[in-house]
Amino acid sequence: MVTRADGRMPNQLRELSIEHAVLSRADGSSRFSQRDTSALTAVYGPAEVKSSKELLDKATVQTVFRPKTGLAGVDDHVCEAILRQALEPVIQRTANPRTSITVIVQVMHDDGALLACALNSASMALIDAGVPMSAVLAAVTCAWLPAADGSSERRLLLDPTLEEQTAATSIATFAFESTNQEIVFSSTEGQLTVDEYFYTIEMAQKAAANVLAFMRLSLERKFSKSV
Amino acid sequence: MASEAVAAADSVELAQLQRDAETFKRVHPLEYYRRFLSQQLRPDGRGLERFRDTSLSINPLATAHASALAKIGQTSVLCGIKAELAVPSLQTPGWGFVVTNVTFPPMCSASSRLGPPSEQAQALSRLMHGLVVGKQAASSTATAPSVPAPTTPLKSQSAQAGMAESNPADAGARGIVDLNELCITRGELCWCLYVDAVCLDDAGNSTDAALLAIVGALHALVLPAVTLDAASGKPGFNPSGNSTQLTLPATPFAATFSLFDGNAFTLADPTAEEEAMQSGAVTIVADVSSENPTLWTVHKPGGTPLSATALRQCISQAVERIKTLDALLQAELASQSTAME
Amino acid sequence: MSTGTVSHANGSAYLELAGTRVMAAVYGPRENTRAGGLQQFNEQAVLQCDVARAPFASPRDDARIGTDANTSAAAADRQFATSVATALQSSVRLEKYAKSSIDLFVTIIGDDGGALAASINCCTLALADAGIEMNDMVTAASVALAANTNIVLWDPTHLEESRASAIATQALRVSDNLVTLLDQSGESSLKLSVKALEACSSMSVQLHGLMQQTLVSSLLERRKQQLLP
Repeated sequence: MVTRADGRMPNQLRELSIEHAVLSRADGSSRFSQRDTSALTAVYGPAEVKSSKELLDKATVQTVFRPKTGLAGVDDHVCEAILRQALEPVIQRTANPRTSITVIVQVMHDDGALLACALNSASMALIDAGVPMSAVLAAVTCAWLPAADGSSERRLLLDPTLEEQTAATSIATFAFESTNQEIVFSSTEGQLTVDEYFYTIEMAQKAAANVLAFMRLSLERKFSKSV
Repeated sequence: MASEAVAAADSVELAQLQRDAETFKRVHPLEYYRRFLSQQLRPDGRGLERFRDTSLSINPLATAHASALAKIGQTSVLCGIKAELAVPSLQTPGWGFVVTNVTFPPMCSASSRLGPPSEQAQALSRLMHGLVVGKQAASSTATAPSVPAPTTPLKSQSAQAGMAESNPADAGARGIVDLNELCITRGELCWCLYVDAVCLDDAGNSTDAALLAIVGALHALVLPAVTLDAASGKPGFNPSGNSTQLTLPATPFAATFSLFDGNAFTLADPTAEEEAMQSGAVTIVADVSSENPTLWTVHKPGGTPLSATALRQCISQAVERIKTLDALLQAELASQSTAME
Repeated sequence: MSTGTVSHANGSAYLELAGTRVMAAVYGPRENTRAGGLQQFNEQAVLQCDVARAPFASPRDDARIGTDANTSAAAADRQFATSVATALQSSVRLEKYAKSSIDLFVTIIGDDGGALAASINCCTLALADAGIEMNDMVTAASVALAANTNIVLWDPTHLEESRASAIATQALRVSDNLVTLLDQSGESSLKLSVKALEACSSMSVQLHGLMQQTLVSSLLERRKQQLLP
């Protein structure tokens, strides 16, 4: 098997690290890193909601996606919308009606697979804040790279770096919920055949299970420490 | 006499029932829908997997270089393309530009208001732009290019011919438009296509209609021949010269499904009411021109979780739908070309 | 000309005059949600108008219209919107709809001259389609004036507009011959202007008849559809 530029196997994720409760003023926060790609999330809520955004039967989820530098652009607003729509189904919104849950994601560094990292970080921060959830989200990015020398097949790489991402012919990001491992979020760029797509899902699902196991481990460690 | 009285009583009762149904719909919209869906029907009379009647008309406008009006049921999206001359950027001297935008003017639905583009418009613009130019160019053409400075002298085209053509598009995923085709003189002059889709009436599923309109307009696009004025070096249009049409190697179309009531029901081609109540949506963009359909994107922006099996079902339904859209476009283009002759 | 083109609007209309294509939708009477609208109590409805121009609306070789809100084009559109609202204001029975706002949204899809007149006519149709009470339908027409040859061109195209020395647009309430909007840009002799307005008036009368026909036929069409579900 061909190893990658950073020495990883094609189906190997980068080392993950999670820091819980990194911010003192937020209700919950977490920093999620996949080696150089890193995102910091703060969660505020359930808190008071502006009357114009108040929902009578459930909590309003608001998301903010802050780029590493500068002002938020169109892409960042699109990420914001994605985060909100992906988190809404796993948060038990009916538990706290007429309140707001605000999720603020600050990009620390982007070295590929940023959206997945942001989603993972947000779901860890929500747990840290104690927001009632029906499942945890685990997200993974995959990239299809053109054939390397000597082989005719395109290669599927998990958790690509920025460099791999620019060289890729297609990129897919998935988020799975933890109970049934079903697909909450899917977005692809570039062409894939149906079989390739489902193969990607299968691989991403396996990787997401690993991410999830790591999240669980990290949480267990955190709680055993505080006791 | 008696039978008339009975008929009158019936019609009164019917009117009463209709009013009751209307009230029920207002008070419990979700329950109202559930009653229909449990019978495998929708309030507008469609089955769950049925798409609304779709039509496409090519070049309805005279003011744009190319245009297309796509209608899916009541939803209508008009796409117009204006082509302008520009100078290629330094990073991509062999490429032209495409700027894709989808707008929802306040006219198109009761909920859209004045002000900056809505989240929906931004997300849709991004999605469409990605499809039109492909993955590689997505970041480089996010901003509008500079207008050519009239003082820049343009070198003769022959000087450029020997230049080695490094083609970054080969490395990446292609879009609908091949940006190489938009280059007139490498590093000097290129086309900038402004692809603007305007939603005239948003009665649900504007995504499918927007892509259909954009693809239709791109197929109708004829770029006028450009000649360089020898003295000033300024480019000008040559009406008698050979106009060019884009090759457009692949034509993807979209099919959107709405997940309803958790993921109990999957509704094809949701209306605006269904969109307002849906618990999630999946948009599948695919190209079916070859035997093996190619997925361009499977976009599920959150919402209720869906299993891979359910997703597979959606994709096979989408492929069938996209085949009919492909046929629609071909038929429209054929009738267009016979009309021209 | 057709009505009922936007499914969710209270009333809507589409108007096509060769290359000039305009679509208008009326939302309302509804709650006034614009800034300060909720606090104030209004005995009369507020008629608000907004004009959006499709980026590809201008004639072929002109530049595309930017979507940036700060351009002069956007300022011109705001001016345009005010003109449309003023032309219709006097005709709509605003006192019937207290505390509410009637929002007119115009989208200019193609502009081949006479967009203002077309927008006013389209809005009138949309208001009628929405069933909003009006004293009469306001109709508008525009002419191009050539000062040196004393010629008045009826319903000019974009090319004619750009070559004319002045353009005049007039909105008329046909039943009582009341002018609700007068707009002339460019210079012309007083005599020629009067001639131009007379031309506008006779066009307005013609249009009035046409618009009535459109409304009647669309009403008949709708009734037919309701009878046959």
